[in-house]
Amino acid sequence: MPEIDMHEFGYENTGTASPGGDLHMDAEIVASATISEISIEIHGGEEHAHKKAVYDGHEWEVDTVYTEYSGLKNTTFHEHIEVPETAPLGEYHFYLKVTDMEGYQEIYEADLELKEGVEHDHK
Amino acid sequence: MFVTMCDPLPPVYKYYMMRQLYITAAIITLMTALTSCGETDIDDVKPIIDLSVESAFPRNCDTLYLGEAFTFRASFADNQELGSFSVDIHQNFDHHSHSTEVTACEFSPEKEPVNPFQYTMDYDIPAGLTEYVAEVELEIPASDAGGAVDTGDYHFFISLTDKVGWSASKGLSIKILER
Repeated sequence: MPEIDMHEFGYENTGTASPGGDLHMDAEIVASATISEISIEIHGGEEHAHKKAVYDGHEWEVDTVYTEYSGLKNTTFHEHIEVPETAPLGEYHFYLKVTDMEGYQEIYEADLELKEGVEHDHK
Repeated sequence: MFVTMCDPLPPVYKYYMMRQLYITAAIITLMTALTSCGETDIDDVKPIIDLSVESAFPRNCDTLYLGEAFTFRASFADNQELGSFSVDIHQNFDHHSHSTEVTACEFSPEKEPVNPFQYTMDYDIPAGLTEYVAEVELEIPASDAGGAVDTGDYHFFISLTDKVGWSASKGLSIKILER
């Protein structure tokens, strides 16, 4: 089974980000059966989906697959995900999935809050 | 009929003996499998980037100068076999952090990048080595297509991967300045 050790999720590990900024994360990943792919999914919670209409139909969803880690047994996963200016504020669900070459998957799950005023944290 | 006559045991005993034989065979197979798992040399050790050797360069808080060639030098080691390494140089004008960093240096004031230097390159390590001293000649140009290259705080990021995929990295804070 792959292992995910999330060191920092959101600016200074607060689980928050701002529209127009980025979502910063830093995790140690180990897969002794070798990493096949790492993916990130972000989508609004149910409550959020209900509010969606308020924001002119704008919604923010992320579904990104990172294949550049394929072949590694461990890595420091340090990524910044751009949050568009139009992303509605509120609660989101965040999933970091690591799949190894044998098909086993480990999922790190967290709540993400988009709110104003979270300091930008460029790469 | 012929077989039964030559056989000293009735068929029912033969059945038990065969079963016994199968069980024994299964146990032996299983034990062999377990033993060979234990004997197989599974590599579970990460490689090591050593910048403590005397000639290593750059080290944390070192300065590189625009238009002047320098030699990147680091010592690499692995328990079984080294694979490849990479060098990544990117601006750190906002003083961001990587978790692999050792200590902070004295930074210049934060600023917005105009034409920052950016470099990423992968290098193979010759096959079969457990120790290797990387030496790469590099030069940061004083200017490129985008104009004069920004001076200031940069990160010099070294990644090392062994043959089977275990990796290690070291992020150094450096300065790129004009002499």
